[in-house]
Amino acid sequence: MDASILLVLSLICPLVGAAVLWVVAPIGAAAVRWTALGATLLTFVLVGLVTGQYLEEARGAEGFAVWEQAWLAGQASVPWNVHLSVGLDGISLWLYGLTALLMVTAVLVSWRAIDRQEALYYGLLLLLETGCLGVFCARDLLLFYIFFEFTLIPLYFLIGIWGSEERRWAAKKFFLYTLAGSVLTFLSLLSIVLWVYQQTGLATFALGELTDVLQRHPLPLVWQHLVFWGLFAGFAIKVPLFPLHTWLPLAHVQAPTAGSVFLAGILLKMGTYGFLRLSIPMLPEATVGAAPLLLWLALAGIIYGALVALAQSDLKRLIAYSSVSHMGFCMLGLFALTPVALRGGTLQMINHGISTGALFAMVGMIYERYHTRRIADLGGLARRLPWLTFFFILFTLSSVGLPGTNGFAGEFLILIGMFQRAWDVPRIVLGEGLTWVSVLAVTGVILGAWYMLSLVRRVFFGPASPLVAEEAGHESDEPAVKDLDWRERLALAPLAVLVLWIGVWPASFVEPMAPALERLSRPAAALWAERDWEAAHGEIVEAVDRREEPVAPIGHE
Amino acid sequence: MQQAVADWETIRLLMPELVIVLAAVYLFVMGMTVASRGWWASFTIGALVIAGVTMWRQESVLWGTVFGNGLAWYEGPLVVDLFGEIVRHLAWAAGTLVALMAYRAAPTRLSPEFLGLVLLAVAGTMVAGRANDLVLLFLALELVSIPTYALLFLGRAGRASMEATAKYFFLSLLASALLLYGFSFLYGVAGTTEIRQVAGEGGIAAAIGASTSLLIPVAAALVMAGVGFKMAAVPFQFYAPDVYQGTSHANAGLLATLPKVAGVVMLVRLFGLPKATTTPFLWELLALLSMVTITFGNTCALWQKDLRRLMAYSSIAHSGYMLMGVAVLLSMGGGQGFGGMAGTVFYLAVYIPATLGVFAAWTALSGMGTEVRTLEDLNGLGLRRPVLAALSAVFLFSLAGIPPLAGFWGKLSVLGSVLDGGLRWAVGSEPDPRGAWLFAMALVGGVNAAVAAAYYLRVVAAMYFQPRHGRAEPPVTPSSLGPLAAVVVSAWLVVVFGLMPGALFQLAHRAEEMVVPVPSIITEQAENGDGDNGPLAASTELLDGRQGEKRHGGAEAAQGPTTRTRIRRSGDAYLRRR
Repeated sequence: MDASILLVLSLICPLVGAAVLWVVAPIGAAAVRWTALGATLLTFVLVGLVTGQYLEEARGAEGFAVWEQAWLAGQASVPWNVHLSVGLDGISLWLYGLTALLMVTAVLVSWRAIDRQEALYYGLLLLLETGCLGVFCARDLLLFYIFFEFTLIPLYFLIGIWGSEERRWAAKKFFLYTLAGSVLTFLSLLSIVLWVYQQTGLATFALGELTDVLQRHPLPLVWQHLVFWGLFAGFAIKVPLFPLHTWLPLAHVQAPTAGSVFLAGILLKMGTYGFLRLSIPMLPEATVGAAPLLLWLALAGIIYGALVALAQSDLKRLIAYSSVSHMGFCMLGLFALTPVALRGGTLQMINHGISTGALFAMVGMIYERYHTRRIADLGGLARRLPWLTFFFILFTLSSVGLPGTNGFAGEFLILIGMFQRAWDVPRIVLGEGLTWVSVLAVTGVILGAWYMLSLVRRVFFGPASPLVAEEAGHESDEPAVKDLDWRERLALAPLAVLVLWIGVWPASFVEPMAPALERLSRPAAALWAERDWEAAHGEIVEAVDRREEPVAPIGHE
Repeated sequence: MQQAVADWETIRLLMPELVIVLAAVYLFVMGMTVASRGWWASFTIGALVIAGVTMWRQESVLWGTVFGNGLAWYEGPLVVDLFGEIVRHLAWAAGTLVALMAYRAAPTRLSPEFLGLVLLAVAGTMVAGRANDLVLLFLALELVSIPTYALLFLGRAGRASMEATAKYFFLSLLASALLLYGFSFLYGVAGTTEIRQVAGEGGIAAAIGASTSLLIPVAAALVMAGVGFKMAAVPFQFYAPDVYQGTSHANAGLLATLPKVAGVVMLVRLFGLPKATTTPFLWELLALLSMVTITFGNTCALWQKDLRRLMAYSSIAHSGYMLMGVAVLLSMGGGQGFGGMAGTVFYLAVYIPATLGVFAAWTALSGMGTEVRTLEDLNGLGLRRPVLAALSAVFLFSLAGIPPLAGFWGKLSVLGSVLDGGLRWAVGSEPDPRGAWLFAMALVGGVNAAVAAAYYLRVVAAMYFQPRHGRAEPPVTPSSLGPLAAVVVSAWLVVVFGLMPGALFQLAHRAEEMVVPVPSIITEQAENGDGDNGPLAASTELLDGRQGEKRHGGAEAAQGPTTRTRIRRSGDAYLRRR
């Protein structure tokens, strides 16, 4: 079948599934669960087919499986020319696939955990899936924003109805915090479109066209900065970039397991994806101007997140803070703006989705068994629950970046790229500060290993805690707490495979995304290189002038 | 002879309004004969449907001759144009939804009176939309106001209700007086009551610079006071919360919609014509009031526990967004509308079903003597009445402006026009302070969208996140089918406008282009010596002609800039010359 049709079908499939849920709801919870699983699996298969076609036929193409339909036609005096336009490229391809995959996991981990209002719950999950898929495949600025905002509604209800004790406050804080940022993003988006229209007469919301126009006729510098920080407000809160992360631990901890999985795995990526898709290509000068500050903020997030994670006594909070730290690495990769770092940053988006999503799922599994998330209550699980221990350690190793797992590939590329950025530049100019960023970022990796491995030691090894011992000791013949069953193993297995696949052969993921990254970052990267060169040149000339000696003109390179 | 024909023509144009007024009279006269709420509500719906059919039949003729060509047609004291037509539809739709609520909401014995008054208010708004004469406009506005005095009091003898009614009555009288006083200044300046002339060349515009120019700010301020009261905009907002709280859900719904439509009509008709937008001070006043109104409404709504007080403050905030669109229209000083007026019209069209939907849902939940009043009354609604709760959530998210619901497009069209104007003033060759004003407005409007979400979420949270309370649920009786139908229709509108906003969007923009012709075209026409068609006729050629297509064609990227620049230049030149 035509790839664009498949793409549209995969986008609609969860919606149809949600409608079917409504119909089958009276039959019972089991029917609801199986319908939801069927819908997510079908979506995943459709996405898989599209991905396969892309890798086979159109590796590196800018727009693949493009489907377009006029939605809102402009009138003589207004530039609103909105299209329902979807398609994939090398970057969105992976995030699109990850969304479809993680939703299957989310449905499987909710299987027993959700015991009331199942139809509403799975319906909202499926709506959330469409929203997230839409964000990654939208080729129209307004459509992107609509999906971006729409995801708030299902997640608000998911956290507020099925969350833990403080769910109401968490749901509200999450919604308002992210909305407050994204209204500023909205104003920035409109400004971009209106400016392009006023300057060139081109009435369009199409991402590709806007990017092209803005690269040829950049916005005036002041406006670039205003628009950049407007976009920043929405995206940085979503990422979340330190110090705008305060909604995240609360929302993660209070959300139901599937909510945390999806929040960490997909929703945070919408922020970095926004930076990559809009800020960097459309506003190159502002990007280069703001990059050093953003790199410092990313570094602060890496170290702060790691240090706070070290101090946590709650499993879920610990992993939530580790998210802050890992998303800092993503931002570091994106705004270092070297080809290697960008690849690393994008790969790290996928890695974080896999490993943190899986860790949250596993925290949910532990909670289902022991009804506690306190680390101190747990201990010595390894002997009783070998499968659970096996998977948890695998994802932990991925999270700390052990060579051979995906985390290593991502973080390594980011750090290499960051060091390149810091040292390619003559040190006297910008290099000094950025050198510190790159050196300190490495400590993030060490801290990550520290808090994750000590978590594993406390929870899985050592003597069994009283709670664990008591649960196991109820009936000696058949322990009350069982190891992972087939459903849970099936939920985790694909993620485990991906951890090793990306770890062993990252090129299979990085290669298809390289042309798209190169296209998006070219203007900003070129600008930075030029600026560095000019600055260096100036410094040298100054130094030469001080010596008052005639010098030969210095060439580029 | 000529005059007699014209009069007949005028009456023919007013057929739908006449049907509605006749039905109201019948209700008042024959009301005591049948004591059945359902019968009278059905009668009212029937009358509204007949009026609607008359309206659409008229319109299908007018579309071929007038609107379709972007024309306006002046007939006696009436102006027949697309804006007026949209206003009539909004009023008609709001009236129908309130009449549907009346199956449950109207007091049993007084139901004919209730419905008759609603019909009169609807007819008043419909006439106001087409008025081209200060006297007719004032009469139409009174036809909206006077029924509401009686409505508020009808069948509610509580102290709060009496206080609300008295407050509303006196303030409304004062506002009407101020408005009339303002109209008298306008008449004094222009020497005519025909709005087209008052607002056009010979009226306000001619008076600016002349010895009478000082009268114009006075007139504008007085008219703004009247408008502010109608729309519940700061500083005339303070009656709204008490009045809404003291009345019923259906009345509050009526108060939150029809007067706002009337206020927008007044602003657009009196100050929307290009010549009149040079009125000094008015646009700064509007800009400031819009920002203050939005912020005030949203901030106060955050603490409300009473549902109708909350909706009152929410309606105040929404008035601010409507004023914002009009402010953009006026900021251009006789230039293009930049979608400001269209934004306001669109905003009204998506605000009305969402607000009435909320009130209809609460009406459906209220039984005899067990009214849903506070947030706690809604606790656990998501479990008790899942469909109704879900539709209420749809309305609330739409009011908060969350995509893809209709309210999002309302925010988009208003804030988009504000930014459009702001960028034009700020980026051009000569930066203008108006740019800064408009950016401030965009920022205030944007940030307030997030603030507004906070209190709408409180209602949603009560419905979904709070455990159910022990209160007995009013049973679903045939009488609650009326409000439920209103809920379903409103939800349908909110979702359809959200998913397919295109048609309404275009309609709103066409309406704006008829009221505010695009200046570049006027200039070109004038240069070609083709001036005797007048601005309204000239603007039509832009609408349907090649120019419009050229600006938006897909292939424009290649060859577009030249055409566009030419249009823009002449537009700027026009602005500067003024």
